[in-house]
Amino acid sequence: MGATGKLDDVEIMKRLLKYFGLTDSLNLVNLSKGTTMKDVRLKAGDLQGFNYILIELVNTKGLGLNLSGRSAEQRALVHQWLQYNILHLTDKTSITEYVLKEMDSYLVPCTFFAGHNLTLADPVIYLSLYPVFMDMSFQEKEKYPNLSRWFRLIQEDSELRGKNKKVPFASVPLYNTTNLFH
Amino acid sequence: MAFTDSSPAGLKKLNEHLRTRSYVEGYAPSQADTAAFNAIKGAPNANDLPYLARWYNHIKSYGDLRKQFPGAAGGKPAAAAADDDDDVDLFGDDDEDDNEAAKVREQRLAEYAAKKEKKPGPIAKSSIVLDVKPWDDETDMKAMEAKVREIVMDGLVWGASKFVPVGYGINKLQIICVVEDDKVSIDLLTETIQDYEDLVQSVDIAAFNKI
Repeated sequence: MGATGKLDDVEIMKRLLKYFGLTDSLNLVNLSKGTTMKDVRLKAGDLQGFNYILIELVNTKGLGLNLSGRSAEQRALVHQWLQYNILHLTDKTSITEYVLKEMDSYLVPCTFFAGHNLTLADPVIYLSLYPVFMDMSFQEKEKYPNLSRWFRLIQEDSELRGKNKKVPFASVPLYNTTNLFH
Repeated sequence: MAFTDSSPAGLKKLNEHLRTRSYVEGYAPSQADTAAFNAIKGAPNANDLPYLARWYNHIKSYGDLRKQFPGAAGGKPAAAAADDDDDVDLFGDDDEDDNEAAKVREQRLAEYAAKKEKKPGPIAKSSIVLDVKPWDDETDMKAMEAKVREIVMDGLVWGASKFVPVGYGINKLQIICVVEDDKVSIDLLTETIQDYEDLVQSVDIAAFNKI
């Protein structure tokens, strides 16, 4: 993270590719220093943009876990969230209260971002939101109950978490429920 | 776990429980989810019980896989699905199961089940010391203790208690209880005590020992 709050895209892309079982494919992607998720390219061919590369690699070389979506609808949702990640979440300073609220309300009816099972979207968003959640107080986390609930679930995957610390969450809401002391 | 109550109050409680959790217990689907799911008749109203509705739809999406969730509340024992870790369930993908290995496992499970039937295992219990704090020095501590002791749950036994001064004339109630781990949820117990809002300010677990 530099002074601008920009996350290190290269580091994140490497982690994600490894997490999705694409370690063998790392050398297919041009990950030289300073590459961003927007302008990353495959070494061969003219595919540009991390979203497209990720979906392409997962579909052709991945573990066959349907991570890019099981139905046309879900594939569209995964795509939408990957795009959302690039537009709103790759720069820490652009992750505003509005963005967090929007994601929170989206997660009211679904356990994961693209419905009922883990897809590419969840780990990608986890890594983008990690520094934000690390800085939040319990009270702030409680402002986004659904997003917090989702984050708490996703961070349980130790392979994805890597060296990241587990963000602590309160099991019982402390600030805005009926049986409270404040 | 205690979430098999399908009355409006029971559903509300489960809804609150699921507010901060994706599953009833832990971070992967388990038999606790199946039990709670089966107890609910029909989809909950998403306006009144948003968290419950989210969870309900999620568990529903597993279809028949529900019976294979790990955990031992009825149905098959922690079974054939996947033993290496919880994330396998997230992907809902278990076709790679090796037939041979599955057979051996089934056999072992059958042996284990037979063994288990013969002698019921020891019941896991915990001894817990709770600190119950009043609002101020004017709170009637005797009444508070009586209220706490009024709580009756299957598998819960109250033990000795005493008042410990915290300062400025305020006492807190320290009370020992013994619970059977399978039957009593500590979260639920502390929440129940905290529901006596007039008397109780907060409840802490001072000590927690497995017996």
